[in-house]
Amino acid sequence: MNTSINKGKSFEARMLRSNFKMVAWIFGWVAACTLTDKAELYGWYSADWQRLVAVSFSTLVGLGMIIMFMKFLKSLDDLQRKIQMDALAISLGVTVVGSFTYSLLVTTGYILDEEVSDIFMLTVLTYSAASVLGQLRYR
Amino acid sequence: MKNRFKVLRAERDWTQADLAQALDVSRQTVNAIEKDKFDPSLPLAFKAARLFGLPIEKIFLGK
Repeated sequence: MNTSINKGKSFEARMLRSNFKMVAWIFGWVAACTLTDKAELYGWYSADWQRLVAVSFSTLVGLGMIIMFMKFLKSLDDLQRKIQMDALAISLGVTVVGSFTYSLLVTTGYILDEEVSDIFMLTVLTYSAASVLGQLRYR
Repeated sequence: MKNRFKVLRAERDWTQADLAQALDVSRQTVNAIEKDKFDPSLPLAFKAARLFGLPIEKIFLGK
């Protein structure tokens, strides 16, 4: 088929590359945060400025990941963007409601060992599940 | 919104993958549009109109 709007690289190939870059940034951010945290745990810091540099570096990688995610969303086609936006909306809603419920459970004493990472995990799991369900819905 | 994607594609003997490549979208997107599960954006609708050489209202039909 020959059309004037046909672009060289296939959409799927570009998506694969885009997904790979996104995953690489996520892993990079998680690795930077883990390293910053473990360095404190194992006493690798010998001065306060090193802690500050490590935290700043993790934050910068995190900001890079956010910019990359925005580029990733822009690179998607209509349907994929809708699936991702729906998943984001669901995960945001669940995170807001979930964090308040979590806070109430801590206040009322049902949760004794609270961790911020619990909320983060809730967000990640909800977003992942909503993305998968979106893909299945439009299969 | 109803559309004539499937008919127009069949008339041209194109596969979903052919159409997806021409529109620069995933095959999943073409499939979802054909099954009326998903309404494309205005830019994509215009792109499809240019590709099929038809006005938009001849491709997308109001319910």
